[in-house]
Amino acid sequence: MELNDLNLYPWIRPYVLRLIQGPTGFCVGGVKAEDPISSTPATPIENLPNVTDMFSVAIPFAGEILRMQIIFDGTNQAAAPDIMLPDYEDFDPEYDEIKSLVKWDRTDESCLLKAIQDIMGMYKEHHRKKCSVLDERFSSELAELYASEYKNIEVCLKRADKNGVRRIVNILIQIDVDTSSLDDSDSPPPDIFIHSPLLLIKNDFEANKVVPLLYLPARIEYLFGGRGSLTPPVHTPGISFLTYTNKMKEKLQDTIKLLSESHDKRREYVAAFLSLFTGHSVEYDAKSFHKISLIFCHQTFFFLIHVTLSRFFPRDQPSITFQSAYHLNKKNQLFQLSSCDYPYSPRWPGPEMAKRTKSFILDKIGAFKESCIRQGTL
Amino acid sequence: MASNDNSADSTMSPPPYSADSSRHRRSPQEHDEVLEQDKGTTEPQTTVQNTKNLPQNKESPSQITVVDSNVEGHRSPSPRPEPKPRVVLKRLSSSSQDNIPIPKVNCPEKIILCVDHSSSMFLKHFRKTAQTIKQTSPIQVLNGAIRQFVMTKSLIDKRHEYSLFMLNDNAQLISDFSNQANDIMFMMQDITNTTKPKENQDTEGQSSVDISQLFDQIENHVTLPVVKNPSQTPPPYVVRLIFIYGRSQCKIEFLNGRESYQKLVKSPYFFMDSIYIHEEPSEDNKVTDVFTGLCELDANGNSYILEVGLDSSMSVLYNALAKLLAHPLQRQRQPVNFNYDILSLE
Repeated sequence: MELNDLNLYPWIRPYVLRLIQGPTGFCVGGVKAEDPISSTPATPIENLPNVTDMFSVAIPFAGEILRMQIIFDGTNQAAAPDIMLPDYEDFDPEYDEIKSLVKWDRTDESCLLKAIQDIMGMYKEHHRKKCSVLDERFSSELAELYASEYKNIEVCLKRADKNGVRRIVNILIQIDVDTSSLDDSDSPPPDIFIHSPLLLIKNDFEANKVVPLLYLPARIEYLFGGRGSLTPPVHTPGISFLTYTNKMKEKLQDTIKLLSESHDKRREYVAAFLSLFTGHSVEYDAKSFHKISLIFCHQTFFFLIHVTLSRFFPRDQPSITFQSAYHLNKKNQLFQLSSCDYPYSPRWPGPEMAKRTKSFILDKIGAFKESCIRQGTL
Repeated sequence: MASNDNSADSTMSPPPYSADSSRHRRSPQEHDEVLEQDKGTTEPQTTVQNTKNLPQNKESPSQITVVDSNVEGHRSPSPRPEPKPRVVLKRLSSSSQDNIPIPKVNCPEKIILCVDHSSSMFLKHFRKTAQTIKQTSPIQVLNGAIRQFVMTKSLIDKRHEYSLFMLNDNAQLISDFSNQANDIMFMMQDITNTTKPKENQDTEGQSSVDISQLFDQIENHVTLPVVKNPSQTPPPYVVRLIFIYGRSQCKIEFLNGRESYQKLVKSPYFFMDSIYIHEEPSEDNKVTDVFTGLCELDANGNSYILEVGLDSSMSVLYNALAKLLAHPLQRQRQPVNFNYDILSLE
């Protein structure tokens, strides 16, 4: 729901705006305000029909959503709001413990955000204590995790069924990684919800099952090659949370390193091709070096070679596509044949790769020409 | 196709810069055989003998060279007729102007295809061979070659844009810039299939065509980028005119001033390439003059000027468009005797 849709009293709007737009310090941003209602049947303010002063906020926490109701008094700007927590949560902090509410400063637009942060801090601690008494080993691993370098951790004990017997604990860990070495000029704008990679470990005690999930900010997801491009490592039985989180971080850092080095390797590869095939270049990606196209002739038959390099080159072998300068296929598309099946080693330097590619082209051009003549149309 | 490196003329001292767009061609029959079937025999080697130069009274950016082809050594069981000597247009010099070095980036291109819409493009034909069922006109072959060109450019970079002009007495904008290759292909197909120039509108009857208006239109049609520090900062795009001309009797001239042309060529981000489809050069036509005129349009020395004889195979026109696929900021200057054959890299 957009802020305007809440139709709040004008003096309440800045608090809510700061809450939903600003950084919250939680693992996941994106606090939502919804379900607006009015505490008074008639509004004393002219030209403001149906203004509201009560609404709910939905706050992402450890893979779940915590909802609380914020109750302002539309007629009293000086008063701090009441905050109601859901009954099913056995979490009921004392009002006096929420310092931002006790020392409510109506001139500070961040006051509501600070109050929510205070409550969430206590909520976090509440769940940490609950989870700490579940199981001795679990408690020990959790303590080890809390004592580690990972400072932003959210733990939530869920009751998976109505009887409250089955217990699932979500552990959400923010993993900070340095991506400054990556070229992100084409990447999407910063994600407003997720700022760093998040590892969510879902523990089902009764089923004795652990499921790790990885959430990436949009920018990092784009740089890695899209959703699902990086999967969490296998969670082997007996591995501690900290050890697993470290493995995940290592995998993220290795991927970043691979991507960073890949740019230089791709540039070396393209340079080697331009050097070996001087004068045959049609076009090459001069920024990210993801592709190069060349033109040749073989016994009067002109053809093109398109080479595509993935972001994980040289780990991933480049794809080579032959294209006829004359023919279309049956679908009226350019007549092309692609191949990744040629001698290749990621350890070869650029010039060696260029030389081997030339040999491959010479090996296959006869057969390709034959295919064009037999199957292509002009 | 054999390399034409042997055709270099030993009687002339090489100019500071020269570019060779010529190819010593096989017969059209042999060309089409390469495309249509696998002969399974060794390709006959051709050698060049008795290269002669026609006398020239002044330096010219182009020159006619008569090239004999010798099919000695051919072992085909069915003897082929001796091909008659053919004339090859060679571009031997170009402006050696020092241009501002521009970063070699693959920025988007705005490509203007200007296609000659004269009767020559419809009524003349490429030489018929044993393999071709019917004689094909330049416009028909060009339709296929342009299709290959725009589809390939779009595949390489979807940001490239294409615009189509037709040249009759005047230039006419047919299709505005679009990155949809289908738009241009559709227009070209439509023009190829539906337009039939009337005999009494034979534009070859004119002695010259005024290209001032073409450049006036282009100057109004495009906005050339202006970049601070052009040697360091890549341009947001470049503009390239590909001028495809098919008249052998009609010279190209600036009859209404060169202001627009000069404004365009002053920009380091404007490029002009030409493809000239022509009859065999002779004293009865103006092929040499036209070719010279096209070479003279290369003010900055960064144009590709290619010629396609009607006595050659239609594949040569495809080859010409293929050579023009190269991005103008990343390609080398049109080289002398450049051999595209991959075997020459051995």
